[in-house]
Amino acid sequence: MLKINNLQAKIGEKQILKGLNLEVKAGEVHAIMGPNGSGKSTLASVLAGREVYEVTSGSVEFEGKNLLEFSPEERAREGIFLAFQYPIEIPGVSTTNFMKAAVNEVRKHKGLDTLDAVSFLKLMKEKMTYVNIDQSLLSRSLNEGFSGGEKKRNEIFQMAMLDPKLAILDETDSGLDIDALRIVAGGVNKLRSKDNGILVITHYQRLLDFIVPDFVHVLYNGRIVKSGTKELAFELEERGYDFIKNEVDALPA
Amino acid sequence: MTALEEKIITQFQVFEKSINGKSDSELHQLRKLAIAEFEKQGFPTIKNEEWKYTSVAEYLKNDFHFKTKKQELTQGISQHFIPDLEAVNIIIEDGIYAQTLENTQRIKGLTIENLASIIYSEKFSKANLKGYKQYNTDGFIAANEAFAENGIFIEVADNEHIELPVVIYIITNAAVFSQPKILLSVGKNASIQLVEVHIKVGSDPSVSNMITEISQGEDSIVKYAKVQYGFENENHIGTTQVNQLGKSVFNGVTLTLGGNVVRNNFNVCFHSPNSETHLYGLVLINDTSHVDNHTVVDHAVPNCESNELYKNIVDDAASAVFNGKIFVRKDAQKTNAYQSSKNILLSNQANAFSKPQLEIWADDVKCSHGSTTGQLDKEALFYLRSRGIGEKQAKAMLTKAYVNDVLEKVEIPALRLQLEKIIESRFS
Repeated sequence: MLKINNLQAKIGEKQILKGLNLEVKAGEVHAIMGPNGSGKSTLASVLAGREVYEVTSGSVEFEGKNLLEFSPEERAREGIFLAFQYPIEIPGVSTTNFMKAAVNEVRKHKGLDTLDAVSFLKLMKEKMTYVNIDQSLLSRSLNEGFSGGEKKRNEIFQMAMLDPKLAILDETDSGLDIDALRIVAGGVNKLRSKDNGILVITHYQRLLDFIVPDFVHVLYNGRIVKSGTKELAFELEERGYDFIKNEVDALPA
Repeated sequence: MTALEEKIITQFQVFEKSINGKSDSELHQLRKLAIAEFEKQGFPTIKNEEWKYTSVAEYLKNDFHFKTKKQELTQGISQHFIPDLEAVNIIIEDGIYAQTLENTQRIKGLTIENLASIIYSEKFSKANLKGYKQYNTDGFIAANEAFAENGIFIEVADNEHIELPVVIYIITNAAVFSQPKILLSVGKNASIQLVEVHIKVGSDPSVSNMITEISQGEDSIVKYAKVQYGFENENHIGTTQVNQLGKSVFNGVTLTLGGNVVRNNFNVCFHSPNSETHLYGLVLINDTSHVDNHTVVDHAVPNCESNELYKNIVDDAASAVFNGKIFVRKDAQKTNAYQSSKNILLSNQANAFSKPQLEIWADDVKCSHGSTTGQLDKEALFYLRSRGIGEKQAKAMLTKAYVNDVLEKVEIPALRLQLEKIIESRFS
């Protein structure tokens, strides 16, 4: 589904991704872990099409198409979803309001009819139950005055609405207490299927207790330096990132 | 002196001959002072500090004519009416009162008169109370006052609350220089909603140079909106002067969606403590439009509150000006005065000029002002796009959200809806 080959990207003059390789197949959940500044969020941003990052080399193939050629909205319509680490506030734009436009754009792209108000509301009511989010929250200005947990639940709600092929969760666990984490993870798990891929970017093993990954990768200094199964996450939790750093830094350049 | 300035002075001589027997009236003495002022000043140039960013020289080079008599009403005006609005509709065409349409059956407490028919009466001199003269007197104001005769007089009697909005459609035809006057006098414990809608017909340049004067009695409420859709070659200079004579509330919204060169002066003076005023402005322009909002809020007495929010969204090579003066006089203790001017530039050629001026002589006051200029929030734009919404639509959503806190101050639902539709169509 997703093939990343020797991806290199920079912001300004700063090279952040330095040759990243990763393949995600349909039905798989991959976790990307790594210390601060290793390039985790950059990877998420590059995949979603954030324009401040410049891809200097390498390729990203999504379902056989060159993803890097697409605008952010085209990527979303193709089935990529990014759950933001810091969902922003947009005064005057409600979730309901822009999700209706978003869902219909995606449907149009798939060659489906757009939803009328009644069908949209029905879909919304169904997906709201995934993350136990209240309709009144969705009709307020996006994320304005929302708690950290509400913001993240709203991200997963949007993911449920858009039903993406590949979901990228960028530190979705940050700022969540254990109850909120459970709800958010529960929502993600409902969306797992044999047709979908999920990329979970996280700092801590904690989230992976709830969203159990098939593969765990360690990102360090712009490259994936170690890959394994969920046991690798436990090892990282126990030993910290230093052992990986030491291993990598000890290698000849 | 420019050709147009000369023409205006000649026109005044013609006008003087037409006012048989009234040349000794108090009003005419004022007119003579005004034309003398005009002769001295001429039209303002960019050398005048108050007109630094707004040049009128170019469009005033055109040849304009002046209407003195009511003519046949231009056909098809009603297409510009605010849809689905039950209101008292008044038409002023080329500066001259034309007619009051439907719903004219006498509404209790509301008087509407052709200004020309009462201009020498006591009614007029009483309503023309304080005048504009204290602020920013310039050639345009002088020219309007020199020809003071045509327009509309509206009076709300004490204790009357006029439920239907009064909507004045001010129509200017191509190549006309029009100078209407609107006078609104609101009695004690009375209220009214007044809307000015500015319409231009035809493609050649026109100028409407108007003055609106509002005086409010004790415990009165006035809700006022000035709507400018923006027509090709439409030039406008308007001064709205509000005098809150008794403890009262005034709400004003100025909405400008285009025009060639538009200048709105908005002056409010508190004459009685415990009054409040709220001024909102929205300018949404593109192409080469230039729109200048100048406000003056004069806290002449204590315990009053004023609040201003002006938002400009400027695209293409358009430019917007906000100049906001607040005076807090020596005795105006316990004044609350707030002012905020916000600008969004949608293109590299767009310009916004913002100039807050606070002059405070009292010491126990709360005053604040702020001005921001930026672009649409890039993060917000990316967020919406990352959900599959196209760039254009995402920009439209953010712009609509941005203007919403001004639009929601438009208290007439039919008007608000119409404006929302126009704004939406700008982006589709």
